[in-house]
Amino acid sequence: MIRAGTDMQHVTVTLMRDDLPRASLALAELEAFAPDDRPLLQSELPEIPGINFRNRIRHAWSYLDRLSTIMGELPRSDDPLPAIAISREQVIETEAWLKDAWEQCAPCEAMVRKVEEEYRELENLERSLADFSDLDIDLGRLQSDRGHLDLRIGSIPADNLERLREVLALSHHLILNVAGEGDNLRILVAGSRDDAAILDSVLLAAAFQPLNIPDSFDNIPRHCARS
Amino acid sequence: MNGIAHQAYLRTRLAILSSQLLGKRHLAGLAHLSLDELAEETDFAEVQGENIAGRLATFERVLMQTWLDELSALMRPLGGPARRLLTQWASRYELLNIKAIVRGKMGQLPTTEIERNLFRLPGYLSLNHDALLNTDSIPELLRQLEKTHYRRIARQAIRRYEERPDPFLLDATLDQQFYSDLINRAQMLGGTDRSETVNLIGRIVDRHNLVWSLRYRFNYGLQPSEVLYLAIDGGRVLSRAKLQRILQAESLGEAIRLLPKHLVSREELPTSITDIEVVMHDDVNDYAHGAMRRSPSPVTSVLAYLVLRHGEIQSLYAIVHARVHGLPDDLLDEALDPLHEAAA
Repeated sequence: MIRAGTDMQHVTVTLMRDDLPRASLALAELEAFAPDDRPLLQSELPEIPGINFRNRIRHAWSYLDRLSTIMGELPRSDDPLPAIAISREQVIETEAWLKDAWEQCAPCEAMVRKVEEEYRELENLERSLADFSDLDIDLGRLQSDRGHLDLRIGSIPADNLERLREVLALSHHLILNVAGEGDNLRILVAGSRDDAAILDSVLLAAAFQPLNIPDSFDNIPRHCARS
Repeated sequence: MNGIAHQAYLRTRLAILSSQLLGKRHLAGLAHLSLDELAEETDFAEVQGENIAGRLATFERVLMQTWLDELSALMRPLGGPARRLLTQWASRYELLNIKAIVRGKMGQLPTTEIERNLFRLPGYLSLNHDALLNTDSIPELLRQLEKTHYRRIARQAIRRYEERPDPFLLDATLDQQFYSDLINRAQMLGGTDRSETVNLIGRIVDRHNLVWSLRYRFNYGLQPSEVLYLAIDGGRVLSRAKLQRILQAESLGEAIRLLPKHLVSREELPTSITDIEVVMHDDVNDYAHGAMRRSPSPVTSVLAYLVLRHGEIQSLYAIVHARVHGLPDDLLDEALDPLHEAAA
């Protein structure tokens, strides 16, 4: 049985500042050295040389990772890339370039996500029509003024259903219908229009997203589906 | 180690650690030391930093790190549901880190400054802070959080944030999930362990629910139903129906008069939310002292110790913080003992 720690040594290396880069490289090349970043000698050694440089590298990598998510990974080469020594100025320049590239691409990423969400919502709407087909209510009436009745149709995370049902019962609201499966459920909530503000606040807490009923859904579901 | 050996190891370890708890009197004594004496006594003198704010932040992290290290040591002989329960208790520091990152991003602080304020987590807590830190906006941060075991919260938070970009809703949701998971893990324990831990956690949940519900309702002005929705399940005394009656009161005074009789141990009810928090904190601590010493359930005794230790660490930090900033003795005494019970 291997027990962590019995074959490992904790070492402290003391050396001149100028020798730190070479020593760091030598230790890294061992591929068996794990730096201990606990603040053990914080008072004696308050400064960590190279920390700003490493932070810039880290920021640059994070922008590159985010860009790769949108644009795909860089093509890989069979030949290993030669290691190069990069200066502080080159890191700053590279970081600035990647940051600028990300700032240009981020709105596109947001648009792509929005389109994907709308596409998923369209699929959900199709499923909603199927789910509400048994309800047999005129969806057009949900879009019109309903006097004293406050009707909301939308989706919530499935985890929130029971808690929402319990809380809404205490404020005299009812969840009339629940449809769908998986992480999100579609619900129909009814209550008095006088209590609209109460319902607004609870639904916000429950991460309710109203369902936008398209104008074309102006009839009972099976008729909408046919048309 | 077999079960009996484990228990003996745990009880022994706990006896040693609990003998080092400071106690109210000792804390009150520390509050009356000069700054130099206090710094020596608490090792604040050893803490280095660029300025006083930096030193205090480091001191706080060192204290909390001590707590995490003690929890790790106490967890060592435990396995299964007991270990998972204590791991969940430790994850409150993951939550604190997430909250710190969110607030830092909202305040547009530099990443390095946000990172300085984070707790260094033990290996059994797996949250990758780098991925959260390397985001440019709250929605992007929440989308990164979606890739972790906080995905359920993250999805809800994204929806809510689009409607109302308030950090407190995220805080409330994180707290809800934390306590909900804690109670679920307590329910996985067997026999006496389950009943004893559920009792202790139920008292902590009651305190959290009452104090935060009153704050949300009467300080933040939220509607009773919204506050009710944000409350945590699993309280010992305060059910959702009882909480609703309290929250529907027109004023704080009326709400306090509607508190169930056995919720607080005082005959005379406190009149402010701050005092209620102090009273319920003391009640939980009194119960935890008893559970630590006498509970037949070792995991409950450990949890009780961790609750007490956490409270003392917070008080210790508050005393040092106050002294460093020159708070006068009478104000510090008032902060440590707002109900003037030490003088009684």
